[in-house]
Amino acid sequence: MTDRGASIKFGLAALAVFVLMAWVFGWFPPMWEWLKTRNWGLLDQQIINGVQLGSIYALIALGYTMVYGVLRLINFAHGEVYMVGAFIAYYIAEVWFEKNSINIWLLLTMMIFGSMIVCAALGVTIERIAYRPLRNAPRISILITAIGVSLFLQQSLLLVFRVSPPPSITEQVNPFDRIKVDWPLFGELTFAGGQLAMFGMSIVLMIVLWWFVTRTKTGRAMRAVSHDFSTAALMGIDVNKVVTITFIIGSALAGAAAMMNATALGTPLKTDYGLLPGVKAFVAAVLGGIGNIPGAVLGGFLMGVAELMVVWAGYDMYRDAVAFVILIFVLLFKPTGLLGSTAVEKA
Amino acid sequence: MNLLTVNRATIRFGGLVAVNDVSFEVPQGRLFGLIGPNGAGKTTCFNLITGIYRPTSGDILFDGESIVGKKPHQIAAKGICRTFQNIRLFGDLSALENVVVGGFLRHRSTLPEALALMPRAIHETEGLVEYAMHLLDTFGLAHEANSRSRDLDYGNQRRLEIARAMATKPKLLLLDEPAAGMNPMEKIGLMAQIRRLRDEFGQTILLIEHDMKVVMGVCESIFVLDHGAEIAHGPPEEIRNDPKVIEAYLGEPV
Amino acid sequence: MTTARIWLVRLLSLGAVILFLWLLQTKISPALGFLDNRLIQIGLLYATLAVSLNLINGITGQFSIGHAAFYQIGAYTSAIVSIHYYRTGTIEPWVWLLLMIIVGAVAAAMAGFVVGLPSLRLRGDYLAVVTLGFGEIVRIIIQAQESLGGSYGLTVSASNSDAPLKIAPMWMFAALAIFVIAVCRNLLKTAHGLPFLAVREDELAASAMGVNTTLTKVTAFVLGAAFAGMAGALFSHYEGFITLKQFDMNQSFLILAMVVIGGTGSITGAALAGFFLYLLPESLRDLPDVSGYAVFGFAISVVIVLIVSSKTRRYVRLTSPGAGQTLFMIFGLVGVLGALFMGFWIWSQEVPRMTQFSVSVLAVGLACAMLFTRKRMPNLAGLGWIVLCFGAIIALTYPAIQGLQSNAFTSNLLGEISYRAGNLRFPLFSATLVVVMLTRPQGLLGHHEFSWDWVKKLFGLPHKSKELAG
Repeated sequence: MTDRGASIKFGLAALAVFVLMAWVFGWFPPMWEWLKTRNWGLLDQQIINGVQLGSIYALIALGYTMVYGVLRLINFAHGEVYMVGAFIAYYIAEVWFEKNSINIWLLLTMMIFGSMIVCAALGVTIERIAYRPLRNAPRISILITAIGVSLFLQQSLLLVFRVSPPPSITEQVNPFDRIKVDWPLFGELTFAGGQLAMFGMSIVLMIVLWWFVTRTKTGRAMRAVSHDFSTAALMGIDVNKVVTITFIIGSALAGAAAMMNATALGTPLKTDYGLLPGVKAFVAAVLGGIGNIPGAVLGGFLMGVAELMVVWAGYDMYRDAVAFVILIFVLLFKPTGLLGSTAVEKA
Repeated sequence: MNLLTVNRATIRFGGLVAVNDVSFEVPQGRLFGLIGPNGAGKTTCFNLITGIYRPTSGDILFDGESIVGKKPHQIAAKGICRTFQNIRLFGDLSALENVVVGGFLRHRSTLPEALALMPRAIHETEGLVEYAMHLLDTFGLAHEANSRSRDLDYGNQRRLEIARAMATKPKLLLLDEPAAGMNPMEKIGLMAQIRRLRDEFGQTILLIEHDMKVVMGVCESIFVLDHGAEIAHGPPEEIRNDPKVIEAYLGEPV
Repeated sequence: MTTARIWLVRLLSLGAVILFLWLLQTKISPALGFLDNRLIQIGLLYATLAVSLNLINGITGQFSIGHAAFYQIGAYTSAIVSIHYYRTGTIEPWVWLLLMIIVGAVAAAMAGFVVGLPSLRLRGDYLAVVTLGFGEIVRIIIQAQESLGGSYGLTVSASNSDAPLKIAPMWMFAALAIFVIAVCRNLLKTAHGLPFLAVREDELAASAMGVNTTLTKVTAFVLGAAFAGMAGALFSHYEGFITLKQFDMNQSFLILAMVVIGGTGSITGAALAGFFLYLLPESLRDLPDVSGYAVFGFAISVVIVLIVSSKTRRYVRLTSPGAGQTLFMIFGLVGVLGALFMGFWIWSQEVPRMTQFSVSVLAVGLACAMLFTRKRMPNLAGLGWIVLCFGAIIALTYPAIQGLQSNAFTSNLLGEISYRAGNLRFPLFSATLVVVMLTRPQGLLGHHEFSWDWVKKLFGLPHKSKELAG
């Protein structure tokens, strides 16, 4: 096909223009100087941080990819579900930690399950109210609805949640300082306990998900629906139930990710807390091949590493841009993603 | 003089050879039929000719010039226009607008002229609308000119597709199953319509059709495909009695 | 039409526009001084933006949701040029502004070309995400440039002074809106608009009919972006100070919402939605911290309308015919009077005129919803219901938040909430977007243009076409 040749040519041309502009505008010092001034000692540390960040992206991306797989819908409100999860974790911490000196592990368990449950409920509600009535409408209307829901949650929760000063979970509970670990085998590497716990927990959740999707009857039904929605319905699968379960799982994963990230990093929470992680996780899902569950995990990890590589290279300002650059390149050169399958439009 | 020459065209999709080493010629002013069982590669042939797919190997000559590798709109500009098996009208536009889109191919005025609403653009638009109305009239659709094409009934939609293709003033018209889904009365009307196109406009037509009555009644020569390869070609009487064709359609020879 | 006649019409309409602009600047605008001119100007700007996005989104069907990026590029480019090259007193401000508008248009058009390229390979939601990503990249790059003010913002000033440059007159806003609307209308008026529509309807069929889909899509992006860039240039020279916040993702969504609610593909729909959907919520920003009585009255009228709604009425008519009807008459009358009272009450408050106007419009809408049953005037009643839902949200959230505040536990948990009706603008906006999508996915005007027949149908008067707005 001519398309591939043309796109490669276009890509090379774009790259050439970019390098030329970089040189002309002096954005980069000469390459060699630049490489010499990098802090190579930090590279491995940043890659490890990237993998940990990536595990969060992977969890959110799973929600995007599962919903897309079943409904062919980009659930723009997913980032807002993540945001709500972080706030719920914060409120649970505030209520239980200050007043009762509760066991820290019990509290963390309550936080993660609390935000998972609330997020799952929110996800299902969104699907019921906004997406289900439009299931047979053009995809663009559903997309606009999703944007509307996302805006609505962001803006209306601004009125309800505590916004000034922006709350941070670590003000209430900061469990992981105590279990900071040094890793003697690898020399200078340090793992914050929080990040380790975060990484471990996300791996556990991914394994549980994998077991669910491949080994249970509901999981099989889910795969059938994502393969062919209408045929699955004709084969006697309760499609609405499958969609509901998909939203429950996807939103719960987002809730878990939000709780872990907000607890480990202590980022101040605002109602746009979910915006960028949401979009980046979406990019991760596209990178891995949207609709593909292992792809989302792979994409999430790659995304996290890529982002922290940019930080390592000294372009902290551009760390949010890297996601979109990756997105544009993936869509231009391999729109189906790394692990996705191809689809051809019939004339 | 042959208007269209398909010379050993082959296309592969992965392991599947959809069209295998097919060659045929469509002479000027002929009604040429392309038939074959389901999945024989007829529509793929159309897609090759109109530039939606590019043949893996082989050549397609139109008016003595190779059109392989040209974009669909360039091929349309050269004078090949088609209809679609599953009707693809511009659903939200009126019947008239659909036909004007076809006629727009030969526009002269430039976009800036249109944006500034220069007289030339206005006159051209008026001319196009007039011609489109004439075509709609020819196809008996004048009374539906302003209704949304999505709201037309099935037979009218099929006819509108032909009118839209005719508006590009094609040298070669490709019709992909024009009689599909029509009742016997409509089919008779369609056959008359197709003959009229040839007689009045001198139109060369390449036709895919499943309905043997229509094919045998209209076409002057027929080309039969099965599994992407040619199995027979010739005038209708010959094809009707060709054992290979009968086998392809009915399975085992009787 | 003969050529001479075309030119005559052309000259006459041009003259009429110039006369209108002159009147607007010298007579109408000062006369409307008691209203907020700023709201009208920015409203016109949004109308321009909505129409320009409509060209890409509605007419060509390429789903772009990063339109604020083009707006932003126009604003920043023209601002930088002004900062470096404009010297006050050397050139008439409005001439310079015209030049800057062209600069903004060219810069944004180039960006539009770059964004248009992916549209050749992508469609639907993928294209949407790429355009969104492009918008974010532009924002991040500008944020990282200290010379562009970064996240602090950029003061637009002349090279020989530090004072912010505020040189955009009223007529310029109207002229730009008229220009953009006229160009889009001309496009659809001639056959040249049809390829754009054909690409929206069916790309493959369009290319088979000889439409160069590549060229068409890129043209749409370039034109739409150029118009947005013009608006951006005008905006930066009106405000004298621009920040990233004015061009963020929410801004893109706002413009998108205007196009969608107005009716994708309808120029007049986009223009009207752009103007009023900015004006109405923005004028409510200054709503006073609503006094309890007013909210109480409003809540009661909302409840009354819910009672009087046709379904309940039918139900009561079936169960208790006589008394129910009389009761309804009384309730309905009280409700209408309550709504009208709201409309008058606001004029006694110390708020801007524009707010008073908007509240009155809302109140009248509410009264209409109650007066006109769904059967007799279905469309107007429908509009009234949307207004009503706005009112219901305002009226119901207020007591809810009051309740949360009065409880010691919850108020401690949620922190200070400053309740202002104006804060509800964005929630209301997004809720409208969702409601419109759920109930009328093609937007208010659908693919149609505004016509008086549509208005007539709205009021249940005899009208010509049945399909219109149907």
